[in-house]
Amino acid sequence: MKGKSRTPLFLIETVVMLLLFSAFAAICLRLFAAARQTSRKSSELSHAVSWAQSAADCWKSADADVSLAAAILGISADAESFSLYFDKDWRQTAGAGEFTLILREDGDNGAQIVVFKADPSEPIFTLRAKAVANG
Amino acid sequence: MDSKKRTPPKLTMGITTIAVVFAVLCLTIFAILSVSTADSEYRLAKKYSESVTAYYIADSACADIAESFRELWESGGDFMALSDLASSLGAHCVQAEGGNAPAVISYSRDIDSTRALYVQLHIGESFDIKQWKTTPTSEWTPDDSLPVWTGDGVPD
Repeated sequence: MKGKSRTPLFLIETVVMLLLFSAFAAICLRLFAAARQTSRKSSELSHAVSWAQSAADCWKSADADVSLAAAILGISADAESFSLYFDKDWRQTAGAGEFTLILREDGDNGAQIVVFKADPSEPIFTLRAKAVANG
Repeated sequence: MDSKKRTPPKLTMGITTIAVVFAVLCLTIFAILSVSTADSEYRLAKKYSESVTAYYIADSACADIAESFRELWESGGDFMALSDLASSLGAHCVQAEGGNAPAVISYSRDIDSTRALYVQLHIGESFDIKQWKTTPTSEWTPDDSLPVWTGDGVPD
């Protein structure tokens, strides 16, 4: 008696499994992408907070003197503000980079610190600091 | 007769199915682990940013109060005036012992449920910030419990 070939059955199984794998792989890839995006967001937020805190503390320790605070951070300043630029790995750069921190005095011994990626109206983190002169 | 009898179709599972099930399981587990780790990292970063923001809100409030005392001191306010301002701002004001001793003003502002920012000013010949520090508002109780199985309930 002639035996039945199993090849079509194997092919059907392979095709079905390939379809199933493709569906699950698509879902999992979306999850991996979401995880990567969330991870990047949390890294940006942590770095932005650290740098904003550093800038605020420098400015406070310089008795609310923007130029002195900028000198401590090794950069130059305008009359009422200074900017710090960072590359994608949050290393300080001389010119415009991926991220920007701006410290601007808002009068009354206060300063507003904004850290943003591309658009200042969509900041990653903002902080308001106030200084008191000793003496 | 018997040989013509049709056998019911069997559920066959080849190596392809096993490999795909294994790959899908691995992918799913790694994807869930990645998402949960990233989510935990983001929540930690959020907490950090909230903690820093809360500190600077309390810091600004304390700076405003210190500035009020400074303005009064610059305008030549005496101990009574400082004491009145202190009571209106919820601060504590005492005169240190001695003839020309400065007024010691202390106050604190809550940062969050567990921390407060404590400030001490000495106002006399000069205006000095003596203390500006974070203090705990509740006593820390270490968790020294050791929830291990002690062997209770084992029959002898």
